[in-house]
Amino acid sequence: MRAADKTDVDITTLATMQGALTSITNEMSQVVVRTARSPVFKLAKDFSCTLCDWQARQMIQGDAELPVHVGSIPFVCRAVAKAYEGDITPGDTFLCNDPAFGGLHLNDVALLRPVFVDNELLFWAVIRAHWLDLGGPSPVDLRRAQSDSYGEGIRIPPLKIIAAGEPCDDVMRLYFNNIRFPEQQHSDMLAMIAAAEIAGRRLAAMSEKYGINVTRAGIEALYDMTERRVRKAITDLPDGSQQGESWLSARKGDDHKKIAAEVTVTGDRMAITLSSPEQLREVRNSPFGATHAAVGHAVTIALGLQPPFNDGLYRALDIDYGPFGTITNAQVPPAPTLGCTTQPFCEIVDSVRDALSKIIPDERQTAGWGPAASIVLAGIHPDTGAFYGHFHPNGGSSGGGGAAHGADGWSGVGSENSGGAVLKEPVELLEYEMPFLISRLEYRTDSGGAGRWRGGLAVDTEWEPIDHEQTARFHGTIDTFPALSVQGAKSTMLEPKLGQRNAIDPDGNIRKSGSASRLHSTRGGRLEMCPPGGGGVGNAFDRDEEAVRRDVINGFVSIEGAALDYGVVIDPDNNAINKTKTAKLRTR
Amino acid sequence: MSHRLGIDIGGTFTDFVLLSDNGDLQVAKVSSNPEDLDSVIDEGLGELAAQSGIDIPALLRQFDLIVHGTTIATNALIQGKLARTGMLCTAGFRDILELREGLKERRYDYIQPPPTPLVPRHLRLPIDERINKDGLVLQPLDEAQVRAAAAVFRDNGVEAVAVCLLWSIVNPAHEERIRDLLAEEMPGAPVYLSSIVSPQLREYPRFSTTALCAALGSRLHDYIGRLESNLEGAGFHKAIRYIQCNGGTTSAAGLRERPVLALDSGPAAGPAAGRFFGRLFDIDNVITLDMGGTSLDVSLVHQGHIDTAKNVDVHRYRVAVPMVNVRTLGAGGGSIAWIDDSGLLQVGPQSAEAWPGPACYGRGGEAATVTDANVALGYFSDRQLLGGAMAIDGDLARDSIRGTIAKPLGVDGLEAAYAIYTLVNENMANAVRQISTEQGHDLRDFAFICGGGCSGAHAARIAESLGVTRIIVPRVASLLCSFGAVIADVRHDYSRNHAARFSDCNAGDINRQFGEMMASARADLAAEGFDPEHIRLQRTMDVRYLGELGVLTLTLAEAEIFANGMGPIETLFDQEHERAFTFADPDCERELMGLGVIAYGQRGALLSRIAMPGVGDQTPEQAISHSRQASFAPDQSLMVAVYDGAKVAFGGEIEGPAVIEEDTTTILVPPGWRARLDDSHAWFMWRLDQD
Repeated sequence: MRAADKTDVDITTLATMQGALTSITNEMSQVVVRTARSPVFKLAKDFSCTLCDWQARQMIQGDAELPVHVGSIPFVCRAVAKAYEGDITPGDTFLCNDPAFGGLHLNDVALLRPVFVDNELLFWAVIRAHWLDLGGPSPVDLRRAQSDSYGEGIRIPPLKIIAAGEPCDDVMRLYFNNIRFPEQQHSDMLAMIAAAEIAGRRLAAMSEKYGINVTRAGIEALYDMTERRVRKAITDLPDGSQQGESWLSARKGDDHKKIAAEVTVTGDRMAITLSSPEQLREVRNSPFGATHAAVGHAVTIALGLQPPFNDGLYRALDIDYGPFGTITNAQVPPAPTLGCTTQPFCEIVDSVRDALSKIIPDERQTAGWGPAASIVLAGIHPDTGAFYGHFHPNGGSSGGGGAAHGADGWSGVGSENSGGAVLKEPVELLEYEMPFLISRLEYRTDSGGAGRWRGGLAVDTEWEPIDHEQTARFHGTIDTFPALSVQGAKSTMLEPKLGQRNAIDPDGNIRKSGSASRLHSTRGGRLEMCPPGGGGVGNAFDRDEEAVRRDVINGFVSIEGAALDYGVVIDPDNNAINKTKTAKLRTR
Repeated sequence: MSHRLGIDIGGTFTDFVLLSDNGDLQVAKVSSNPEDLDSVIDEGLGELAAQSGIDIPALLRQFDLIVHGTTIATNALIQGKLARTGMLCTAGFRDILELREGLKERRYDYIQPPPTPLVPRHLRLPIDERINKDGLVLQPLDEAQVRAAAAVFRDNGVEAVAVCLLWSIVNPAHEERIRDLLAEEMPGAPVYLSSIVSPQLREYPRFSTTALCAALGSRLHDYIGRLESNLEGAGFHKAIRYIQCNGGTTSAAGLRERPVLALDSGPAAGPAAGRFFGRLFDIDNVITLDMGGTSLDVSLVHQGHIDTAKNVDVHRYRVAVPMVNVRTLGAGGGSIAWIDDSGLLQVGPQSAEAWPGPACYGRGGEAATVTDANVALGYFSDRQLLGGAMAIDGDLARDSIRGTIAKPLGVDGLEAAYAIYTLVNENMANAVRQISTEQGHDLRDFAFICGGGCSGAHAARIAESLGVTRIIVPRVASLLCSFGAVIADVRHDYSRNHAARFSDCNAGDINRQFGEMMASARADLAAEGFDPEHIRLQRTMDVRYLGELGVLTLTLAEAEIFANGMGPIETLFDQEHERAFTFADPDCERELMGLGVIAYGQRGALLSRIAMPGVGDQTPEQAISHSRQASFAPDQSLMVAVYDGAKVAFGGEIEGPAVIEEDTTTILVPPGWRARLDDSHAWFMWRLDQD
């Protein structure tokens, strides 16, 4: 292979090539979102499209994608290329979800299609999407009780499923024979293949237009440019080391687990070293792919970098996931990893964020989004007698986003693993398709972390199964640790900032989940999901009094919360600020 | 003979187009002034009258129709100049409007705020009531709460109310009852029901559209009132119509019913003009490129149908009525070239605007713009533009490119200019892809129609990038939307929520609903004076494979309607699905999600020619004004002939490389292209290797 000569590429080619890559991933997403059929795909948009090069390096990590999905794609792509070295031909398609090869939790399945130009493997089109079910002992997913990876469903190593355009029927039969919703998932797979096919056509056209050599050189140059951008941002930071930490909440009868991060800046390089306890015999373990994505996300935010990103993003980073066999560098098998995209993903982000917050300037500070809170609802459909499962990523994508220096957090946007990419499912469409009513979906007052810039509010959701009983499954507690707040932000009225999951019986009795992994609704009862609110930034007593008053008028903050959290006293009769009392509270 | 007048009020200019039934066309362009609508209209009418040597009252007596496109609604939305709006919601769901769908557009931007909700939370009031998907009342409407809410609205000076209840599309009784209660409690306040404004399943798009109607209504009504009394005062007493977001026209009453239809009025008329010019050349598939000073609007006409889309975001607010599928990109003559923090060249979306404008205007603008690149490359004159109306300083263009782009990137000025020009072309090509290939269209079947002052210099290069081989540049390019306004059909959309699997569909029921909608359509158009022979009705079905998120809107031919059950529609849907998404899944159950009727009162189709004053009589050779250096690659300059387009006789052909200067636009004919002036006052360009 000829070494790429960067001087070959003119500024026009570079700029237009970057535009083409963005345009191609956008088109892939369009195809998937419009044709996929399982709700988590089409409604929640829990998938990501990306492109890799001839060395399986990532050419583009777009703005629309889920942070947790895209960071580790190159590992998967490299694993497929290696496993099938010498046996990759045009029209092939591969799957892989194995955490040992850069996979996340098993449900996030990557579909990869090589793109050949002049008989040369030049690109990979890759789509990673959350598949509803991969078999395993209990319906749908989020089984906290699993003690090893074998119980989680089918682990797919790099695997060819279409050979030169011909589906490998034997492999497909084996797979679809072992999952619960084969028809829906077959359709989803068609949608992914269609997106990859379209990407392949356009990538081929792109390299034809520029010529293969210029294309290669152009891609290399784009990596270099991103790398320079990252190194420059790191150089601007003071040299030195800082520690950060966050806590993974305990399950019943266990201790909370500390996730520690050390960030060291040396010139234009940054080293991030994680340490955590031995991997768990439950699902909240992070394989290296997920950890890699979490660290990359935290660093990207702290450095204030904006997409598009590519391979160059990671070149200036030395990431140490911690010893093999610990929570942040789980060994699979045997570690189950179902939780990795939610808990401890956000905890890893926050431990790195905590360390970085001691290094970066004020204007780049951001708060955490709190522990992720996905939920699965399952039951027997009263009309058909068939089993149904319904996955709500982050409880219907509804936690509060963290604040930033200069901006309140966004409300109801989910958790940071998806960063607001995962959509809330329309109430009417869900009720049209599923045997339940949604009886409430609204902001929880006082749920945003207090701060000079307030955390985003969480959205509470209630489901009411029609003429049947329903089971909700989830993992990890959300009622122990609030979202990380920074720069002196602190909530006095803590309880509404925390999440909880409840069953509400017909007589009004409320049963909290605590650290259990499931809740059962009795006939005529309801299930309630209350995700955590986002963290705040800056001292809450410095928040603009008028902003607090507006929050009270709109019910984002209660009158009690205004006084306790913000030191602002509001007259309940006319919503006016009591200046004297406020001044007194605030000078304390 | 009757005349129609099109008035298109844009940000910078207000365009007037006067068209007679025999195709005679007169145009005028005056500066916009939002503060003084009267004088702008007076000025434009005065100029048209002067062209004919008559006075304004005499001019007004000549026409029987004025069609108006306006940015009033769009600007009100952008600037937040909205009515104080209240919303009544099913209890438990007051935050749907603000949550949108939980989307945060920019993943890595922690500073950008969400859009300001159209209705603040304290004016989104919950009402106890609940209807289920079958239309059954699970909880009756609490009327006392409605009256209490009205009191809150009155106390807060609420001007208009949006009523947004779950499942009102299946059973509108509660929404209708609320309307009656509000009529008692808040007499005179406009009330919009989600079940009427946008009868479709999915609450957020429906609620957002309803809130938009309430928020835009009063400002729009004021404006319409002012305009109509103004024209009446000037002596015009005949019909006034408005361009709506679906590309057709409607009356003031139509806009009052659904003010959201006034969004994008103006740009939405572009495709009607594109379709018209396409037809003159027997081309049914066209893409309109309207490139002005700050942005590019791209839209598509397929087999004579103007492409519309439902559920479009306009300035981050969801609109769930059919809108012309206009893709807007921050790419215009004034778009600024800059270098991002990784060292990559970018163009737009920031613009030098009308003032100070591109560097070459000499008004103190320092940023290098697309226009400066056109000047530096020799495509535009480096002395003057707009037929001499705008003086140009070519040195300023070259200096700004050298200083802001070439030097920092370490290249020479010509290479930088070429890069700016090519990059903006590629950005525009990607925008075209979004509305064409990404929807399953094959671009080789399409021709470009150029609108705006700038697209003539770019269209051929965009075409080359996409495999398009035919381009039409009308002389009215810079007034394309006001021309579109006078030839646009009247369009009304009727829709019904109707969700059912194909296996459960009842043909009789569907036919009855189509029948009802078509009867309303015929009556409405008849009331507007259309004979049956000028009324065209189109039946549509929104269909998906069971569980898909997207729906495909199928246009049904007569033969496909139920003589044989749903079978023909299944086939049609599979074909369309394969075209749009590369695959069909014939074994999968199909599901009907909605019925629609689009009703057209036809106007433009009747015209087969247009005639403008000023026909040239010279051969192309005689019309050459001078030659100048132009660059078609960073390292290659050629002497190219510059033609004075106005002097060329019909039928004259010019082979590239060449530049054709018209009064309001400059056309670049690159090597490998040829252009011919058609007697419809349009340049037709085609690629020679496609002869």
